[in-house]
Amino acid sequence: MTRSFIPSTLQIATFAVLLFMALPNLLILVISFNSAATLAFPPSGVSLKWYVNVFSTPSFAVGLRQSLLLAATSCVISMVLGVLASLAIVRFRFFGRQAASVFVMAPLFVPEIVMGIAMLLWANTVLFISNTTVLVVLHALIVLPYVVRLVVANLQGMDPNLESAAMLLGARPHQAFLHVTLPLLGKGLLGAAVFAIVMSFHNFTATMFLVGNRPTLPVAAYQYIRTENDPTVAALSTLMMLGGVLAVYLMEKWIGLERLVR
Amino acid sequence: MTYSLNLAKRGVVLTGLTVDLQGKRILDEVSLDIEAGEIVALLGPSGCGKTTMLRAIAGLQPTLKGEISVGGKTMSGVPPYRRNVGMVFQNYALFPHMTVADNVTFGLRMKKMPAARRDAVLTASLAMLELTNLRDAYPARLSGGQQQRVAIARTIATEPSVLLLDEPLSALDKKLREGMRAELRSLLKKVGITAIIVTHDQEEALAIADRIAVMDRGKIAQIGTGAELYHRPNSRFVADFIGYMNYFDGIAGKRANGLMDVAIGEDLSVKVPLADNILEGDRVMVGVRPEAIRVASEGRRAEQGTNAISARLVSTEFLGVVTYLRFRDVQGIERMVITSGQNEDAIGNGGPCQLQWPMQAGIVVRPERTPACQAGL
Amino acid sequence: MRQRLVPYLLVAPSLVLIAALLMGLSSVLGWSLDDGTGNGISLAQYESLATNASYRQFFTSSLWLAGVATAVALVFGFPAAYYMETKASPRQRKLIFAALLAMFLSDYVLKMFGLVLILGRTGLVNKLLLWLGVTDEPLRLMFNEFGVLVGLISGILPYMILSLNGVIARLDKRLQEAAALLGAAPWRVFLLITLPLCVPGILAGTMLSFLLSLNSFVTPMLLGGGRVDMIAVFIFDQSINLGNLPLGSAAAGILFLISAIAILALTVAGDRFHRRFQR
Repeated sequence: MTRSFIPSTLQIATFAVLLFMALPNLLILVISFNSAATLAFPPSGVSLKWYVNVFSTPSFAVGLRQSLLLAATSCVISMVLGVLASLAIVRFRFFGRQAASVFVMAPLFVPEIVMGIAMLLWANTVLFISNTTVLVVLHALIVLPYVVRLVVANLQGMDPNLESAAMLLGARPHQAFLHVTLPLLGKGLLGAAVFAIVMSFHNFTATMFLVGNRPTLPVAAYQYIRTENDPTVAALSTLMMLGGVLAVYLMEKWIGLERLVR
Repeated sequence: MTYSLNLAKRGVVLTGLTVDLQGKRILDEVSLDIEAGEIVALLGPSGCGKTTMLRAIAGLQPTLKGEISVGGKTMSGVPPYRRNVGMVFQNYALFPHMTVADNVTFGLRMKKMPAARRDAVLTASLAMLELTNLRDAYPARLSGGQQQRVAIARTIATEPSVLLLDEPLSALDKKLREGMRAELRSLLKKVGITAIIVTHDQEEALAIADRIAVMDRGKIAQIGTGAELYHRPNSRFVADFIGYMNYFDGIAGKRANGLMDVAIGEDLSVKVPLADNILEGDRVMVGVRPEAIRVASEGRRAEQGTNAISARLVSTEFLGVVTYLRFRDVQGIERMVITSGQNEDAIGNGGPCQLQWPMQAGIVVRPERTPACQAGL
Repeated sequence: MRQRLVPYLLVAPSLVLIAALLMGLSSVLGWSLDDGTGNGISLAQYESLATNASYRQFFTSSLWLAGVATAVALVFGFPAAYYMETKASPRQRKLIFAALLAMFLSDYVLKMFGLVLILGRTGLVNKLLLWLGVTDEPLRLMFNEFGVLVGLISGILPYMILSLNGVIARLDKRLQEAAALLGAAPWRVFLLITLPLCVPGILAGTMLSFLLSLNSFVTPMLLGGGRVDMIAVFIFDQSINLGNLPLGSAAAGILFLISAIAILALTVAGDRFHRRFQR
């Protein structure tokens, strides 16, 4: 079948849409190398100084540390909780199963701004709880539905006879899980973990209610944008984009992109 | 040290087993007595409950009522990993992330068998199923037949009391299936294990099993050897499930000399061997297997002990080994005769013929699908 | 006996976490019922939201903006999804998919920042227009509804496309071929066969995009400059900046209600569709 070089209207339209979506990121990329201290387009020269500046801005360093810690913690928590819950939902038939799976998805239905306020108020009602803990709870909540959805899909794709076979060969249920289910889920779990980390890392609106004086990276970036006018934040953004590309690459390797968006 | 697998044979007894699934009664008070070392096939159409029964014996399916005992010990409340029952799944369920060796030794590792002994058992099991050179292969690389052997080796290595097989040959292609039937039987006999096989393929059941339990809608319709089921089916269902049957509607008549008269048309009656649950005056159906019928020319008198009806040839189908002949009888019903070629002279011109069969070869059953009560154990 | 408890034990930890959320939400509800004195319960806050015109404006403005953004995203997202699933080569499709996924995983705040670079007075578009001589002065593309719309559309397009491509991929081409052979021109095939069959995806994508736009915070803040009224900004302003927790909570309550109803409606509609048309 010959491929004509003249793109069809559909192709042009698609390309236009994709360009529209990608343009902000592309522009940031370009501006980040600007030698002048303005955000004006076009850039006047090429320089890497803004990248250097990213690392010497204290709020970014703090932000990065906070974001990573938060992402790692909420990832671990949501993965453990999520895997256990997914096991229950997929492999067992029990009264309230349907309800449980809906409840676990609840955070998806709550607008971020509402969740921010809700958790702020919750923090006030629970005694002796530190700000960090509330943040962790918030992020675990936000990420949990995604983890459950992914792990459930993975479990459903697994042959249920494998666990039965293991049990008939003498493996107790937890042994069957350890030796058979977990290894087979392995890659899927890694992909879910990466997804969880990224979702947590980028969360802004809900997080903003609770950060106080130790902001996460997105919050720090936001504050910087509102006050300063140089391309430092563009450099930061480009670095984060690289991280995102890496994340996509890893997920493609570990789960295959199809599985993610059902 | 060479290790020889020692499988203690155990019998399996089911008493009044009842299972409900999602509101439907899948197994209805089923009782079954399987002797140690026996191979029994559960044969029936989809939905008859055979796989459910297998899973219940394995402990994978909770039961509502009834008892399962293996080797005299009851299995109530015993979870699957303590039943010492082996199962080969329809799709083999080999662990894809483990080599053949790891698959086969899985059960041994669960039992915490020391490595040296484990290795000896592994070698013996692989040798028995001719898998020795596939020891380090992964399941994805194996053919269907090889995967099946690995699945069997994996269960045998744990020396179970009973082996359950769920449609063991259905995943293989036709030619392979026919070859594997005899092999599977001889393997099971060599190992000497009690085996229960689920299948929907009557040929498979006939070839592999010692006895066959034909199941219908949660009950056992009839259990017996292949020959018993073929020649003396107790109901239409069983007769239809195994092989083809020509049926004549009729009314049961008098008995004499171990035979019963059945009137199948105006001035037409045949004699069939007695059946227990048929009384004079009952509406019945007489059944005759196509290969039991001989075609004779019209005037030929029926010999002693032979039934005869008139019919005209309608079509022939030459199939190599046999020929299918279709006739239309006096009542306009199609009758099928299977012959390996001996009747050519009588058939010739399409004129009226006689279809004859020995009286002893017929059966008489009630018109309903299955007997109201369960056949004997 | 113990066996029956297992699933409950597995689900329990997650439900405990969710309980925290529920507690928080009920606190919000509680605050929203405050009558202004801190002592009584009343619907005063909700009344105030309903009667005060400038408060109402936030809601109407949000609904309007969300509606427009969703419509535009649908109109432009559908062809993209259609191309991706029907005409693109496998490699192209994979690339597009990866690109869409990358947008999911990219930072929203920084994306809006990128739009500032495009729409600002010294940004890309204005520089381009000036250079081409189309205008004499830079256009006001930001800090107004236009800027916010662009931001919303940019944010929801990936979600819209990914909601649509599933149904499009599942379309049976033979149905379209059969229609053509029965005499239907391409546009009729599209209107009468293709589009109706895509309804579940369209519903899902529309609902998702609408809710995301409605609840948006960063976009009106960065691209609206505080001059464009959207609910999330109102809630933040009232609760945090002005300390008026009851009013903010009431607005949050209404927002939550709208979201919940919308999702419920979508689920019901989706079910109905399935039952009537799918096997």
